[in-house]
Amino acid sequence: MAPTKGSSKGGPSKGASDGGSKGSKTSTVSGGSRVSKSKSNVKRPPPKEMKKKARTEQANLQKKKKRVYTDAELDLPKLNAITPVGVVKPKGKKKGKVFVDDQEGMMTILAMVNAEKEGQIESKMMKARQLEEIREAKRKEAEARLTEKKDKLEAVKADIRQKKREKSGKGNSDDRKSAPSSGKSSAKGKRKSVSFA
Amino acid sequence: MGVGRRMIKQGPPPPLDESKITMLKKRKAGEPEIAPKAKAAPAKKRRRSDADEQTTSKKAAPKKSKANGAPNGSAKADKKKVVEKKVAEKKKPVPMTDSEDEDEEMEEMDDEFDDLDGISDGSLDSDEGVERLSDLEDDDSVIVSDGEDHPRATMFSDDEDLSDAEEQLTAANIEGLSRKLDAEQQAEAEEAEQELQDAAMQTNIAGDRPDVFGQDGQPGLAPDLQLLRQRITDTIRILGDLKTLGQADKSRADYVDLVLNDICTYYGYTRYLAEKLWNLFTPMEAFAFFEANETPRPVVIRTNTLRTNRRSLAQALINRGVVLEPVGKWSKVGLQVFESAVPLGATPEYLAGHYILQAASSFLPVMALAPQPNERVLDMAAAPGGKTTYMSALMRNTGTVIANDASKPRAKGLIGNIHRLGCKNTIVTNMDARTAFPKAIGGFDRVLLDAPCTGTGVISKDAGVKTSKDERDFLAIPHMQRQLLLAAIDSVDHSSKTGGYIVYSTCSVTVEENEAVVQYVLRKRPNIKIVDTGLGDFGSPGFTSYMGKKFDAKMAMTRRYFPHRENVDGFYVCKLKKTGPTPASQSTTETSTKSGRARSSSKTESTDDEVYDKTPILDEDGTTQDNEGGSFGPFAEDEDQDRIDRAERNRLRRKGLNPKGVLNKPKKSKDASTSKDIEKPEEKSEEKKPEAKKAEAKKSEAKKPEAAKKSSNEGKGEKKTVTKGEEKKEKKEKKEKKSAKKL
Amino acid sequence: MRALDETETRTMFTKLASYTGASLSNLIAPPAEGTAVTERMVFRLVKDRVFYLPERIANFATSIPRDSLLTAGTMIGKFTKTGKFRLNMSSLSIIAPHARVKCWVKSNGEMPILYGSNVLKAHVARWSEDAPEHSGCVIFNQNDTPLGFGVTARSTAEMRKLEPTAVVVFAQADVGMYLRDEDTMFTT
Repeated sequence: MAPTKGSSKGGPSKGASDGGSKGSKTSTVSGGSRVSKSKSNVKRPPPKEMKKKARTEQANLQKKKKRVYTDAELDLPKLNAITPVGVVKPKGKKKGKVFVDDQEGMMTILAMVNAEKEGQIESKMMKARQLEEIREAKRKEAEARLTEKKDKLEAVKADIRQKKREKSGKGNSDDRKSAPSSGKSSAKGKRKSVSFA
Repeated sequence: MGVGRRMIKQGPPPPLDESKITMLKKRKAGEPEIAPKAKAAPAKKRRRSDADEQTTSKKAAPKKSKANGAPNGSAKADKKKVVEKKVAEKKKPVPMTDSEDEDEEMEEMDDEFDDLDGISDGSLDSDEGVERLSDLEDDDSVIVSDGEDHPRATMFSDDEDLSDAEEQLTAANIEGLSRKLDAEQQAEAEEAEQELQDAAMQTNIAGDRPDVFGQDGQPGLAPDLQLLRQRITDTIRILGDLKTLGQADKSRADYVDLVLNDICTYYGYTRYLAEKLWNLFTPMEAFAFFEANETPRPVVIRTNTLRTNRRSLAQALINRGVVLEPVGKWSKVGLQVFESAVPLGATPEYLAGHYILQAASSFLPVMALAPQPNERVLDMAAAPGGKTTYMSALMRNTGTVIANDASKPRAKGLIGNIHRLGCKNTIVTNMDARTAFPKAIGGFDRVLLDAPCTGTGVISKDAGVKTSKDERDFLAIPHMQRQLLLAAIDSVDHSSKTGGYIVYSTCSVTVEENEAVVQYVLRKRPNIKIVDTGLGDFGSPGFTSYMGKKFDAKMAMTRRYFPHRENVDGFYVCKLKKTGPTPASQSTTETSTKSGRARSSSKTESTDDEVYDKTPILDEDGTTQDNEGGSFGPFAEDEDQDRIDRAERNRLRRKGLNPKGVLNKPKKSKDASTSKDIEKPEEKSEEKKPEAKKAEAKKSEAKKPEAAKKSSNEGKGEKKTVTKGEEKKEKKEKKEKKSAKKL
Repeated sequence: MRALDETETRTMFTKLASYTGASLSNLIAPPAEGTAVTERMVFRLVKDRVFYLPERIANFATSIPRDSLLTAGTMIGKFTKTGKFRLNMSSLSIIAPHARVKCWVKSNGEMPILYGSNVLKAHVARWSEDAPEHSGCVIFNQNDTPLGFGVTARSTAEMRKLEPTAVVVFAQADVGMYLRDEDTMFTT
């Protein structure tokens, strides 16, 4: 429909009139009766005259305020401004070195290191001492065993000697004498003789 | 007779003591006492140096010959006399210092021969003997007398016989014999006089002999070094007394030429260098200098006071088998090493940083600089680090020392030394000192500049200097030294509470690198002055004038060291004090011109002819030339100037004016755009001098008033020449324009 | 030329602590002691070399272009590419006064050490007590001048039982390096 300066009220009536005009041609368009109002029924304010504004009017000349969108709205990334001292970047830390140049920092680190070291040394020393102790203990044990064995041997020897003495003591004193001597000689006789070719 | 008198070291016979004569006469009766007495007296003599052994033995022989005149052939005695007279003549002027010692000994000696010799005899003996003793200590005489050993040997065998003969003499014989001896002595004295004359004449002939000049012989063969040396010594002697010894037709220049050629051949110098060094000294001293350059100076080490002290170090090194002693009164940290069983550069003490091998002359600039604790000090050419570490030690590891060296490989050795000696306050940089200071860091309390030099003072260490240094080096190296010194001066803080000193030192003895550089810098920087080095009397004062150049009067406070005088390497030390800030005009212009340079700071030649060089160079005459051969290209300055002068005169003549009257103001040379007129008026006035000299040949009269004017200009001082310079400039421009028009 | 990172500092101190005792803290102790020491000593890193120097000198060195700066103060050691710290022989003057385990060597043992070989029991005059195995040890000569440092081979107790040709200290650095390694010691 060509735009007409008419109120919107004329719309339906126009539509109706169109339908009516159509109906006059062909009576089969709509069976129902249309409530069509004639244009004259609709009340419309009288068409106003709209003056065209001057090209160089003040309102035109003044810049129109454009809408300012904030950064957040536009989804721009935030600028890297200088962060004041002490403020730590919250997430995604920048790659950088933290220098230790002040007295306290160094002392702290030093203390830590010292402690570690001393701990190590202590443990080493302890281990060494322990090892030493163990070795000492082992040695002592070995010694003890040796002495034990020796004692045993001595005891056995003493036993034999005593027995021999008793036996011969009952018999003759000569026998006693001879017995040990014979014992000796027999022992000598039993001795192996090595001959060198 | 046992050992015999051969082994007795006798001196010349002492003057007779009359009191002992009678005693001896009595003793003569008893023989055996003579021998022990003879032995006792000489025993004293034995303590004398071995050098005298020969002399004493010689004296013993003639003594005996005199004493036993009869048995000895007079021929032998004469021969001896001849030799000794010759020797005596050569060294006549030597003072008889030994006479006092000898008197004592002579007395004892004389005791024996008293009855044989007359009293006159004894006195004569003493005179001759004294002469002979002092004479024979001279090196020359040793050569002469060596030949006499053999005849003397035969004489010794005679001695034993003679001694026997002696003892047989009795009172009766004595008088007769003594009379004989007197007569003989007289004859001998006359002969001696004769010999004297002959010898003198002979030496005259030696100088006058055409041989001195005509001894070239076969030029193809290798030079005979002995001959050369003899000729050198002869010529130098002649030069010492040209009137009596010189040939009539030969001038001084001829002799000098001859001796320089001989020196070049004998020692291996280039003619240029030999002449340059010759001109520094008197002929005798020059010879001593050249000789000293052939032998090395003693090895010296410096104790590092940061780690040890001299006494304990000396003790430790002695325990290792090093023979050393303190180097002298002038240093508390130096030790001179004579012999060493272990390599000095590898002892545990060396590696622990207790000492460093350093030449004695290198102590001096640091002692002059005297850096105080908590100061900021710069060492501009620090490698290999002896001076830097000494400064650190003096500052007790406080303050800051910046050690710079332009050569990276040498800087590495510097680092090693610094760490080894335990210097904790040092920064080592590798920058070109001319541009880096004061640009990188300035405001130092003290600056040490041990400038790279031609090394003429250390020829004994590096004989290559004799042949490798040529004229170009003597232009390029002083130029670099000037730049370095200016940079050093600009880097010092004049308002420093404790400092404000610069020490400039070189290991060279030539004036171009020493006094000339300091003079240039004094001119360029009016805010510095020479001060006393603080080294006391050690060393010789710097020259205040040399070959026409005149230096500041205070140049005498700078110190020069020579190998033949102080037995240290040739060296030069100058201490400057900065009294005010650098004038703005000078500093900016000069540093800008220097910034674009890329020279090496080593002793080798620089090859940057293409770079604009605005700092004036002193040529050999001491005058500055704005025109450097390199930056201008081959302009024939003299000829152009002549042409200009001639044209000028022509123009005036055509005009009708008298050229001599009009041209009363000295002309300007062809100043290129590079020169800055306001700043360098003196150079212009000075360079007019050579031009005046050139033109003199042609028009001497016209130039004379100009020359006179010039000298007066210079005499008036800088300010006047500034104004004059400006006036001249205007006039010159006008003249040039006119002449251009005419031509 | 920069100060040391935290990890770097820790590595360096760990290494130093193996040779020194508790007095290591004197190295960075505050200067106000009333003695001659008047300035604070700091560590600085140039490329991978660590220097120990007074703070004042460190500030001076910042005004020198990096390529031209060769040394400042005393060089202690270098960081390797993998981050380990190697002590240089020039650190001897710093660790020697604070050494925990010391070993004194007889005069016949000095020269072998200067040539770089290990310390044998025959050379040893005396050593400190209670030294565990493989602990950093500083070697002195009879005049108490430090000759080098290394690592003990055995603990003190075991050392007593060793035969004379056994190694007592493995030498890691000695003063003789000033001659043997002078070209490579101070370069990057």
